[in-house]
Parts: sequence; structure tokens; C-alpha cells
Amino acid sequence: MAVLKFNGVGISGLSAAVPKNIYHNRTDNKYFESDDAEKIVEKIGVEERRVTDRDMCSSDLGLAAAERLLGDMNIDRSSIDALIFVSQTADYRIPATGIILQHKLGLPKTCAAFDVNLGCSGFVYGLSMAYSFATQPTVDRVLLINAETRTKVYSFKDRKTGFLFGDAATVCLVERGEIYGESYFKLDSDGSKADYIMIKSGGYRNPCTSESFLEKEQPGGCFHSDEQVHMDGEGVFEFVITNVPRHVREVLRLSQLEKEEVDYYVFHQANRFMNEHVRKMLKLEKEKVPYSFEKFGNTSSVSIPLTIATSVKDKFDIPRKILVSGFGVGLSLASAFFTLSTPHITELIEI
Amino acid sequence: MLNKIKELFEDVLERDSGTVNPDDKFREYEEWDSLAYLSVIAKIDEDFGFVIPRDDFQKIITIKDLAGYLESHQ
Repeated sequence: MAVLKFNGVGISGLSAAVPKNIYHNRTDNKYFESDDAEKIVEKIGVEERRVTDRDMCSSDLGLAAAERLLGDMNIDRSSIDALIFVSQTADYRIPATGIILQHKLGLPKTCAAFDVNLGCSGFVYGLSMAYSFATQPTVDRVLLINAETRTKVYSFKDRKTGFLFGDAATVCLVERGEIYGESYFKLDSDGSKADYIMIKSGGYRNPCTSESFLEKEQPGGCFHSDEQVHMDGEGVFEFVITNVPRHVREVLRLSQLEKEEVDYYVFHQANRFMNEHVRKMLKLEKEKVPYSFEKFGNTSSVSIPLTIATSVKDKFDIPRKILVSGFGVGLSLASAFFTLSTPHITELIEI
Repeated sequence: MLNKIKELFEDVLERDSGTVNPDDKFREYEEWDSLAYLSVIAKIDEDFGFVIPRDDFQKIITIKDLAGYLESHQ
């Protein structure tokens, strides 16, 4: 069982970057009739999202967020001993984008750097790795970079996915400190549902062909190619509502906390319909469950830290108990409890 | 149970009262789509504390079938 416990490790700083370009869901998607778009937006709650242009990649967003955080906090770059880059829209298939960022950020060559290929659960998984590194006495600081350009891999003509996703990056600085107290992580996987969210082509199982780029009509009037994400939304929804409330209760039990003792529950920002259902099933007060999908959509592994950095940014003048849960592509599910002890949170960066 | 399911469909699909009948094949409703499916599954979870597995739901054809299924799983 992948249950991890840490003591005296935490997030000292957090930054977020998004593209300047805003896409308005009610009016900008010309592939759908306006009343159809209205109906979808009412259900999913995503009013707008940020979209990169062709030349902007995940690492560009991650680099901007990291530069701002390190600069604002006046961090000695030689003290960064590990960089973890979590993304499923990395700049290249080879090499790892994290290593490119190690160089661009001027981090020492003694810094470990690598990529993690996880989506909606990726912040919690990545944070568990960052905490693991940071417990080592020879590691001073760890950068956890979550960065996604999801709009590049979803068809805007697919009614199941064409209104949901946005682009963004966040950076967490992780280090040791008595103030952080105990934290608990629970990390699960269900590969039997791997095809629920999948880009079928472009790897080595199904290499790209001229045909794989052709747009095809899918059941339910959706259009996408095999180079774009196919999502079985019904299957994902069933997985989430069956597993996430139970998972959250399990982390509360591990952390020996009553539900009311947690200050904020920050969930992966899937969409309003799914997130509100999870909130109601857990009987959580609205005030304790911040959202950011209205303005940024579903940004995959970025969505949890992006919500903290934008929706509850000003609430950390005192230490706050946080429970996070990320769920989705894999399928993969990860939840954690930790204390955010007055971290430095930068203003949102727009590039 | 049958009345509860009828009301649930009227509520989720925003249909007028009395327009959902026991023998209706609900997938034939004009309002039925993937969002309606998710809404019905979510409402049943809220009201009955039970998530109907998709494989089971696919075998349910009418409103009456659904009520019977839920009764047998209470």
C-alpha cells in the first residue's frame, strides 16, 4: 500500500503562470451552436480558460513561474538539489523537459532533474516525491514544477472535452522545517481503465501515420483524431464518484483528523458537475472547497496548486490544514494532507 | 420507488410533471444525452447512496426497470 508519512517537510513558496490569451467558452467555440455551448458551460462551470499559442510550451510557463518564485524569495539557486517536472504535454519526447529547465534556470549540475508522466493526480504524486527528496539531509531544496498545455491535445470539436481544458504551470518550493509538521499521502492506480483517457497514437504502440491525424466522428457527435485525447467521460465520472470520497475519508483517518479540522479541501478541478458532486457526497461546506475552474478550466496536474495560488492566496497569514485529492488519467488517484505554513505565494504571472 | 424515479427523471431532465411513465424507454427521450446520464447517476448516488455500475445501467431499459433494479439493491 502506497501510504507515505513525512514530518518536518513542506511548501515554502508557490507561484503560478498562465498564458495571456483568454478563451471565452460561451462565445468563442464556433463549432457549437450558442445554446448548445451555453448548456455545456452551465453544466461544467468553465466560463473561460487560458490558451497557449503555437510557440508556447509547458516549459515556458514553468520557467516563468520558477524564475518569479526564485527571484521573489531570493533563493540561492545552488541550494536547489532536485527538480521534478510533472507534465503529459512535455516539450519533447526525448529528452526530459525537467533537465532542460535545470539548465535554463541556472541550477547546478549536481541537481537531480527528471520528468513524471502523470496527469490529474500528478501534483499529489509529484509532491510526495519532492517531500521524499527533501527529507534527505544532503538535499536542501526541491522544485516541483507542474506544467500543462492541454489545449494542444484536445479537440475543440469534441463536446465531451472541447470546453474543459486550459493551459498553466505552477512551481512549489519544498524544503525542511519544523513548522511544517506531519503530512500523509495515499497514492493509488487502476490501469484496467487506461483507455478511459488516452491519446491512442504518437507513441510506439501506434506510431503516427498520415491517417492518425485525420479527424474522425466519434459516438455522440464528437470529432477528434487519434493524435488527440479520447475521453470516456461517463467511465471517469463513475470512477471518481465511486472512489474519491472514500479516498478522502481514508486520508482523514490516516491523519487522525476530523473532517471539520481541515481548513481547505482542494480537489483537482475536473469540472463543476463532478467537483460539486464529490463535495456534496463528503458533506463539505462550500467555503472550505475553493474552485478555479471557472477562470482556468481543467489544467490537469496544475489545477490543485493553481487553485491554492489564485482562489485562496490571501488565506495563509496563519498555518492552514489542507487536504488535496487528484484523480483522472491513468486512471490514477492520489490524496494528501499537509499544513501550509505561511508560504510565499506570488501574484499570478501572465505571459 | 417507482414514483421517486419518475420524479427524479422529471427533475434531472426538466420535464413537466406526469410526462415520465413506467414503461418509457428513457434513452428515447429527446433530452437524453451523456450529460443526462451523468446527472441521473449522480442524483441516484445522492438520493440512494449507491453508484450504479455502467455495465448494469446499460441493461436497464425502462423507468420501471430502474426502479426494480434499485429496489433489489437497497
